[in-house]
Amino acid sequence: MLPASCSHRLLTELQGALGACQRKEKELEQSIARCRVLLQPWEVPHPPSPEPARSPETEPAFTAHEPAPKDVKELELLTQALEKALRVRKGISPAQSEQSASSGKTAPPLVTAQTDLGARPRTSNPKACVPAKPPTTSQRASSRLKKPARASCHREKASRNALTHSKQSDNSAPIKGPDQLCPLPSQGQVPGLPTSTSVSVLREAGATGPSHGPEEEKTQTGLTSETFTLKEKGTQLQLPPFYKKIASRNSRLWAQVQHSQSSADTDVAAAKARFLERMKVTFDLPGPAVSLAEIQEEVNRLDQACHLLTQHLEETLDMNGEAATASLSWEQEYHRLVTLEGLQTAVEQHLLRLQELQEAEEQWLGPRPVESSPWGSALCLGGEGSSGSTGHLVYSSVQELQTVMALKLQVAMLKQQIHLEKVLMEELLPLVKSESPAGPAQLALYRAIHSQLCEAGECFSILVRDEPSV
Amino acid sequence: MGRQDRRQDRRQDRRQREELGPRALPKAISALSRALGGGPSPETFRQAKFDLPEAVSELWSLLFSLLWLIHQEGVVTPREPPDALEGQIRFVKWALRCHGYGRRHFYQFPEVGSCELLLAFSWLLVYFNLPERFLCLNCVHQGDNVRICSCKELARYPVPLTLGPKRSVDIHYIQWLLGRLRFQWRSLYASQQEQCTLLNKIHLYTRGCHPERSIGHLSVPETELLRFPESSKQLLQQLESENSCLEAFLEWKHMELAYWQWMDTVLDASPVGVPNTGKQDVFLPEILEYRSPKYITGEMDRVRKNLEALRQRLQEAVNQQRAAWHAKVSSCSQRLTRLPELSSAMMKEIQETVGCELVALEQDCGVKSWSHGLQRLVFREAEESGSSGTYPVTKVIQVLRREEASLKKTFRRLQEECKQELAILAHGLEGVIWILPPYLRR
Repeated sequence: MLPASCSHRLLTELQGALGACQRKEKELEQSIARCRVLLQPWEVPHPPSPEPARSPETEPAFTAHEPAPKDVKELELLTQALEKALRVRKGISPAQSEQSASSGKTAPPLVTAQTDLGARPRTSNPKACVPAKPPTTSQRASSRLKKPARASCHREKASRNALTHSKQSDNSAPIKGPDQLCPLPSQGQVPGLPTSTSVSVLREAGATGPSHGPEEEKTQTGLTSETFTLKEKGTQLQLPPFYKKIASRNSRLWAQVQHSQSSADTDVAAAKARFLERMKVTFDLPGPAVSLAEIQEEVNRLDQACHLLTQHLEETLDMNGEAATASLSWEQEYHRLVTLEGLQTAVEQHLLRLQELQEAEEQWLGPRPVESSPWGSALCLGGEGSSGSTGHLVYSSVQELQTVMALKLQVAMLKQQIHLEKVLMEELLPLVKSESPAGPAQLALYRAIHSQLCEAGECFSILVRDEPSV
Repeated sequence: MGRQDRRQDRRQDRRQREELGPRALPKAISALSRALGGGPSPETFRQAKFDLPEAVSELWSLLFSLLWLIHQEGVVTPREPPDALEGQIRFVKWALRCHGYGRRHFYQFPEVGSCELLLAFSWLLVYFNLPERFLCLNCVHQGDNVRICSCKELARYPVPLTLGPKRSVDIHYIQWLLGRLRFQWRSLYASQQEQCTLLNKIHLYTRGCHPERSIGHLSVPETELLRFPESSKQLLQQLESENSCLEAFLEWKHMELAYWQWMDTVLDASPVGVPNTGKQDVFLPEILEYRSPKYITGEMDRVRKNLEALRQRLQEAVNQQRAAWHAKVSSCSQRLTRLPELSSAMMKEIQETVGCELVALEQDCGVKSWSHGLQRLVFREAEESGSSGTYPVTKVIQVLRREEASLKKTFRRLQEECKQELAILAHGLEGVIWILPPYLRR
């Protein structure tokens, strides 16, 4: 068992390190979850009513996708079947044809819609299908017309509710559908998608929706909806215009703010400095000149300085690797010498400054108390404010991004590792020096310490008791 | 912009300032209040100048909200802000004390005059560069932001121990914890790689969608805006309020001088050096209340030990190098009459170069060459020359690799040190043969 104070310190440090890692892990998990949600197919809620004749005018913003050959075949089969059915029906009810004429406008998009069973919306030739079978669809159309508007109105209500969320007022040409069906403003039926100029995307998507209605009126509305995946159609997305307006105003304002900061006003700066001076004169509380916050900041700065100086030292000493000193040129030798001496002076200065800061801190906090107060975690004493305008970190491949992030993490982990190694050395090495006649428990301790300190806990040495044979 | 344009701007600014009449001050104050997200009215400020008690509570809450916001930056475990005015006042006094605000009258207990509060507020404005900092702290992040510098990754904050008082543990428990930590590192690495792939996918798939040409693709928050338009309301509201704060800030910038001239008059008017009347005690806030002294002094000890270790190493290295240099010089001068290779001019030159390098190092300590702030990740495939404000990732990778190499060397050096110490021990053990593990040269 380790002595109590040693255990205490080691546990504090280790749990601090573990806590930091867990926090980072949680952050990463959250970010990953968010990305995954976006990469899965987006649910596109159904618009309830069929699209009347706007398809000839609706030119989808994106490039047309040709229907798969399988779909073309299906389309042909279907139209043939419908033809047959219509011929049969024609014989039965000539009266139906009047209705079909009135709803003739709805037919073409319905045809195209129906044939696009789950395929991507296409601009291609509604006309090709239109002359094919306007009458054939009349049966369907009429059946749909008669179809209880219940389902459609229900769906429409759902989408109307969704509508109220988006406050788009542009593009709101209401579709004049057949009277039985509730008219619906064209835009915003699919609130999940942006609705500016690529509204036609939605319309096409909407057009496919009702085609499935008669077949699957019982099934849920969302099931057979057009799936939107970021992978396939991400490039067609557009940010909503109201957002664009606000965001552009935002970036313009930030640019102005930055500009105003760079062209600083000397009068104001002088006035502020004067005010600060006058206030300082009135400070009448006793205490060292440097405040606690400043002490903390300077300590951080010195820490960073130490880190950089160490790095510079390593690089200087490693300049020629293990080459013999004779191979170093005169300049290099001298350069090295001067650098090392310079580093030495810098370190001395830093140590002096640290000493001053320590004295000042003691004045603030009084003689160091033995016990720490219950607030273990510190309120960060106000770091430097970061500038609001962010630059851009540009990467050009996923490998680059992975490399840079992995390196950042690796540097942080190495710093953690080095710190822990130093703590372990401080706490455990004294234990090792103490006793010489070693019992088995002691030997186990030495073995563990050796493995941890020297091999980062990955390998163990073997200790063999060498008993003199009797 | 040409010099003429800049002169014109300056003239325009001056003219705008000269237009500051008596109405300028209330406008300035109201702009300031709006820039800080809605503060007290100019009337409150006027009342404060005359030390009227009506302004006290508003000014306290203003001070508290600003200081609390500033101190939340970078806090690992966010805590609940104190609700009651009592707690808020204590916090404000503590914070100002830690930052060195030393007006005795401010720390009076129980009552503090509103003029004092006004002075404290103005001091905060200067000391923390407040309206700008407030805007930066509250700015809405629309992009996928990362930090370039790695100092805040895995930042270590001392955790209050849940252990009972001074329980002692076995070394194996420590080893187990260290093993857990190693495992954590590995899983962190894997998670981060995954995150990068996913981010890159989203950037790839949304190419061409962003209104700004220089960015070109959507970020995760922006894509979420499209996916979940219901949640976009909140983002929009935040953006709009930020816009109004920014506009108010720009107004304030024009009229700032009037405010500082007025504060001069307030300072003149306030009684300075008035001796403490017996009733009011000065109650200095207990600094230890919010901050564990072990944390501050612990940090300082750590830095001191590092610096001292560095000093020792440098001493050895310098001695070694000096010896080598003298050996070289003497061996050369024995053979030749003069130093062939190194003239004094060249020595001076080398000294200057080294001097510049070290100064650059020092400056790096103070201000990192890259900002500590957040940068927006932008995916750009083509090899375009970087415009200002863009950091190519390749440079960052270079710097990080150097740092990584140096840290690895430090770590190995520490391990070597331990090995030597333990080797001494191993030799000293009687009756035990110590077989070292097979070395796997990594």
